[in-house]
Amino acid sequence: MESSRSIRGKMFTEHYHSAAQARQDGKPIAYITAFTPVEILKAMGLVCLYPESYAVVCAASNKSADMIQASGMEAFSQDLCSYSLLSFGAEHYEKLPFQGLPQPDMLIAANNQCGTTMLWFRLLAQKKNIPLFIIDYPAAADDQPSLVNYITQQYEVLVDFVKGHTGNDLNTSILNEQIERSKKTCHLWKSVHEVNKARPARIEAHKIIDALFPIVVAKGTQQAYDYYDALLNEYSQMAEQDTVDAVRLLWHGYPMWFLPNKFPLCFDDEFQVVLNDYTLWWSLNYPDDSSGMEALAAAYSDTYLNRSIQRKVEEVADLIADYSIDGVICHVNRSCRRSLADINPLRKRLHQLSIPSVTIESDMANPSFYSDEQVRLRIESFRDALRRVL
Amino acid sequence: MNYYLGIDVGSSYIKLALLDDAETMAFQDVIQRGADIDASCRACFDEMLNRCQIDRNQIEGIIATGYGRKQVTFCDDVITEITALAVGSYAIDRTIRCVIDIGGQDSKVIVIDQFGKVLDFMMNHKCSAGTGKFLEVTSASLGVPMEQLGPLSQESDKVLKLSSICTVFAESEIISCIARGEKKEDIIRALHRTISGQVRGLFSQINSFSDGTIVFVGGLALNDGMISELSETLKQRVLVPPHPQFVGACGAAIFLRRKMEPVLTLQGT
Repeated sequence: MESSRSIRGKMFTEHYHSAAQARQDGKPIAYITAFTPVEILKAMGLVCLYPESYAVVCAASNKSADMIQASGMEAFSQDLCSYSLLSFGAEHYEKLPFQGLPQPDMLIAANNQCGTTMLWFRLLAQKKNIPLFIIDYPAAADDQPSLVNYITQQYEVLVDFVKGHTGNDLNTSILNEQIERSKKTCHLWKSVHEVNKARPARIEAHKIIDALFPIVVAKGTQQAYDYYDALLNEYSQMAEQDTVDAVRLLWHGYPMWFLPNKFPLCFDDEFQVVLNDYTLWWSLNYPDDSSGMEALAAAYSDTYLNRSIQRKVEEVADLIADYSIDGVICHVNRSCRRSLADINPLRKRLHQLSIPSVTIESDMANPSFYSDEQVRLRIESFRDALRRVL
Repeated sequence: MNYYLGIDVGSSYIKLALLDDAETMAFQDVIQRGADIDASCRACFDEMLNRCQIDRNQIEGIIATGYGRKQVTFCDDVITEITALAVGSYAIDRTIRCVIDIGGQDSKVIVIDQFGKVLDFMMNHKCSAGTGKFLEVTSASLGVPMEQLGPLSQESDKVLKLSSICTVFAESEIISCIARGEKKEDIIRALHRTISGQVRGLFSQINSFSDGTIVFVGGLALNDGMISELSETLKQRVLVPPHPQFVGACGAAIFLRRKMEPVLTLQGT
């Protein structure tokens, strides 16, 4: 059986090389936001690229500081979302990973994860003079039938939009296959995390972050399913004696993509981040009792950041219980305003649960907002405090 | 008699607290920090032995805390100031649930539980706004020594508001205030209010969930004007212990004593 590492390596390279090839072959290319219903677009023959994911690739390649500076050429404030700055900076930067993303034919954005992407994509549409379609997902909606109806109506318009620009029809057979595989792959991705419910934890959370790429860019593909199947198999077979029980930490929120291990290097055998809830956000809940567009509407309207604050806080509380978490590190990511809203309510809940926590202010992709000394001081103080509690 | 020594190496001062077996303060001292932290601590330590007329062998253990804790080569253990301040504050009063420390380099708000353990903490981020350094720099531009800031601010009869929280910009704003004839005491009070506002920002993020006593520690808690402004800004009374600048050193020494005598720890907590 092919190793998960080998599959992922191939997928990563193929994703960007095949995109460049698609441009040469004249296939229609769309830039899409993180939680766009890609299944519909794939079933209409679109090649889909994720500028947010590419921003992560740039940040992890140690290019973000220079690229964000380059975005200053267009007079963008450095206080904007660092993913968007990386995207705009890429226009003025030469040494891009994979020679950059090929030019798109259209843009499709959704507001179920982020508000900034709407403005970012609108600006891209103006600059590139290409069509833009925006899908609206009301946040924290409680009338599920009306919500699903509202969203599926937009999906129907989306199908017309794509057909109008490509001439391609929706292939419902491919759509259903995509949805079914997305659903199974999301289940597998969740199961990969759940391996760490065991004590001692089998795998460090930063290694799980390394496995994120396929669920983001290739959710409905057989290759992604095979990858997570192989990964889960490998993790499940890891011998218990290979790992050491440690103080179990939850990293709440975004990783720091520009750091080698995605988290500050302040953890060791004694303190281990066993779960990063951000990576779990990518495991969407495709319902069992509906199919087609309705299933997609239910899954994509229920992204983590589109839920109510109260629900988000309680979900973190559930994770703390399920994964036997001893302490929580909250990353206040200045780029993502929507993820900040639950920090203080979460703290309040953690106080009630007597779970120690610490807050680190930084950014997901802009290293100029990261101060190693300040972060170390906070984490060291947190470790000190945890030693006394446990 | 056996002793436990806590050394708190801050960004501006080094504080020593020597406790006996009964956790009673036997000696305390504060000196300006030199460039060579280890040498400064050692000189202060030797002087302490001499003044207290005690032998080195009577000291059961030495623990360092604060920013420069890792520079102290002759200590047996180190802890962060967050833990030291929590232990030291809880030893003063067990109803304390929130500790505010305004140090030379940073401000901290620490939430502790009913057992004195740290639940959460906030520190100012990558900026000297709201710290002792802010007051040190700005008071220098007024030509007023730090120890006179408190009494002078109490004479203020005008509410003056500074718009800058940045140390550098506030310094130039003060020059403008002086130029337009504002009184020093009003400017100093405004500086205290600026720092209090910064601390409130941290406090409101972290402490709105807990009840209990709030304690104000650190060198700036010696400044009556600062205490008044902080209480007013937080709209709550803050407790100030008799020797607020030694709470960290004292807490470290208590931590060490209890760690070295686990039976007493169980009884004591």
